[in-house]
Amino acid sequence: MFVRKIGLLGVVVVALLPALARGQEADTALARIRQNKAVTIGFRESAEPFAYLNENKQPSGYSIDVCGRIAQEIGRKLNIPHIEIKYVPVTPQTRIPLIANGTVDIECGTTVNSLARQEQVDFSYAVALAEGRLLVKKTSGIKDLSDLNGKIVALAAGTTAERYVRAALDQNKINVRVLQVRDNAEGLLAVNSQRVDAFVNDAVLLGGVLRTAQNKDDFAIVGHPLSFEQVAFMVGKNNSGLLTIVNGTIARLLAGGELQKLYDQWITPYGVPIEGEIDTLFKIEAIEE
Amino acid sequence: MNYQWNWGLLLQEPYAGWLLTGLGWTVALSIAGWLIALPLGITIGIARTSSSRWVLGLSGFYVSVFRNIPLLLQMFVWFFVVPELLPARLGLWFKRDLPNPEFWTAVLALAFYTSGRLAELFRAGLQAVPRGQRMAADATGMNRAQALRYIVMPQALRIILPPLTSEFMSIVKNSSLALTIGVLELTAQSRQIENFTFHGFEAFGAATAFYVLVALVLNLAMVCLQRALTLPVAV
Amino acid sequence: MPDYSLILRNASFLFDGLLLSLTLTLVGVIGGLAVGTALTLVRQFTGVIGNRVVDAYVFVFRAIPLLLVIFWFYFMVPLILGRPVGAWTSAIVAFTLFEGAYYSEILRAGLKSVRAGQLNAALAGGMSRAQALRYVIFPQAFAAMIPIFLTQAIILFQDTSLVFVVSLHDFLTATSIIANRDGRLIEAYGFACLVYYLICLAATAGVEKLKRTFAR
Repeated sequence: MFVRKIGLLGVVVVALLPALARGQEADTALARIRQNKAVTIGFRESAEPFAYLNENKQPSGYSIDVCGRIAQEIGRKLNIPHIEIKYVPVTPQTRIPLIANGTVDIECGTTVNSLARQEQVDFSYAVALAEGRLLVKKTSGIKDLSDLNGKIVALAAGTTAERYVRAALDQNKINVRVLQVRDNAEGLLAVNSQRVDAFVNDAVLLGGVLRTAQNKDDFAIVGHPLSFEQVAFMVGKNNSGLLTIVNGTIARLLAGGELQKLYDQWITPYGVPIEGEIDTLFKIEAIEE
Repeated sequence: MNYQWNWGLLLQEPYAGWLLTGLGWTVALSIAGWLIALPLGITIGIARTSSSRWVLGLSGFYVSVFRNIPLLLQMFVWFFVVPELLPARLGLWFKRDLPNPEFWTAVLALAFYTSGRLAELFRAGLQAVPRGQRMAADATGMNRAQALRYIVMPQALRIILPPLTSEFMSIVKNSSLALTIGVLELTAQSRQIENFTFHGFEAFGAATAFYVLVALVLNLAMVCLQRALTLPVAV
Repeated sequence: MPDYSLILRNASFLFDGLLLSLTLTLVGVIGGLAVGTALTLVRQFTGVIGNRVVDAYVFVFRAIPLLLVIFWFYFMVPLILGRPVGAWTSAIVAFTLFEGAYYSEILRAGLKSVRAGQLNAALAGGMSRAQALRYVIFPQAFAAMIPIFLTQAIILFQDTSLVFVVSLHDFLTATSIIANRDGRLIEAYGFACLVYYLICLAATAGVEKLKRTFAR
């Protein structure tokens, strides 16, 4: 009699095992958050205005604010009042590995959605658009990529700009010499010292580096956008529960106009207001309940 | 460690082309730098054995400047500072109108740095030649320049041949620093491949293989050169 | 009009950079000595195969540029450890293993310079090979090797500037950051040249003095 009961229990457990196993594979992030009563957010330390350390060495920025809202929403959905946010600094080298191995739940920085990256992580809805444009000196008279024929352009090593600009130059048969620079500051320097005629990168990053320039009035950011890359947040694969909450928060913030307010607060001062493609993007992403 | 290997990557375009271009720039940087550094180094090296305190001091200062400042900083000075110190039109030419300005800037930096080291090498070599040689040359009626050219320098060269090849190896390795000012030499290209494909082992492995190959070739060249230059010993 | 005030304004940032350079040098020297000693012991106590392996290690590390070594370990260390690591850790591993090759060569030359008779006498006197190395050979070799070790350390100090490529804030990287930020290239790089020049000059003079006291 006793043995029969154990046997029955055993059968039930074995039958349930697959369900348990599946439960462990998916939504590990939510389970972790539930257990720790905290969301771990990966952030960039110097990617103004999206994520950076302010004077008080606190994480702040557009992405940080939006992710703060997302964390609150996670707390609501999981019934965790006063959910804690742990901030972990990441770099372009470490951001994907840290999401993929679960150290970080959501990456809130300035990562651009790409198919190659989608093999290792999942992306949320876009919260901004990275549009490639040209930084030039006003006196140069350059208005667009085609004006660069016979001139010199600087591209930052390892950026997506390096790839799509070279492709655009090849495609349009524009004869340009390319100088590889290390980062945005060096790109600005190259334009300033007239070593190059233009520096191409995401308009917001150009706006950012220009703000630090002594002679910002000598420069202009010109050209129609050379790229439309989605800046989005990363979550690990097989975390559809978390991803739904993240995307739902973004959609609701857009519908209520709050995301636009945050955008105007942080991004618009960098010379990229909500108009054109960004306006359209936000309208489309404001998905209904 | 989960890593997907893909050695075939190295044979695909454009990566294979990148590596070969990079190797080409490395070789060009090394040879161009060496061709400038060698005469400069010999001159300063001779100056370092001068009897004039003035010449000795000046050449000593030259050597100490180029040996005590890191090569990377020297490269930055040539790239960022020198064009600004030149008259405006010359500076502009140096920065953009000169074909391959980054390449020539790197060559200058490498050349002057190496010349400092070569100067000390030649000084040591010249001083290692037994004094009797110079005295004998003097006795046969040669002046200082002739003594130097026909008697002292050839012996000095043979003495310093191994460290001289080692210095050439150094300039090949130091050429990698040119990547910081935008020259896409071998190391830069391998990093480029790693950035694009995430296959670091294959990319850096290829670069390593090329440098090791160069080292082996140079070692062989040195042995051959040494054998060819050995003076017959009187039995 | 040259404006050197940016040096004063950023003095602590530059100083932190210098501190990092010096720390990296120290760790590289100690780590390099440890690795070099280990390689030397491998040479002494293993047969032909052990020696060939060390030969290969030394040859490869001396054939490739330090920049490539830095890139290698920046890429490889996280892979081996299975978790992301910062530039600092990768740089330390790179410098330690790189310097180890050079230090092992200095040790090899130093040990060889002690006359063979010393080793034979020690062995004849009943010491084991290990004891002979420890009490007879090594102490004699060491005095001659110290100046060379120190010179190598000065070279390492200059080489730490290469961490520029992995954005570690050493003295040169710090200089370049403030140079770009304030647009004052001449002043910033001129100052950096002066600092490196004075430090290396003083250190080299110190080693020369040491060499003269040792040369008896």
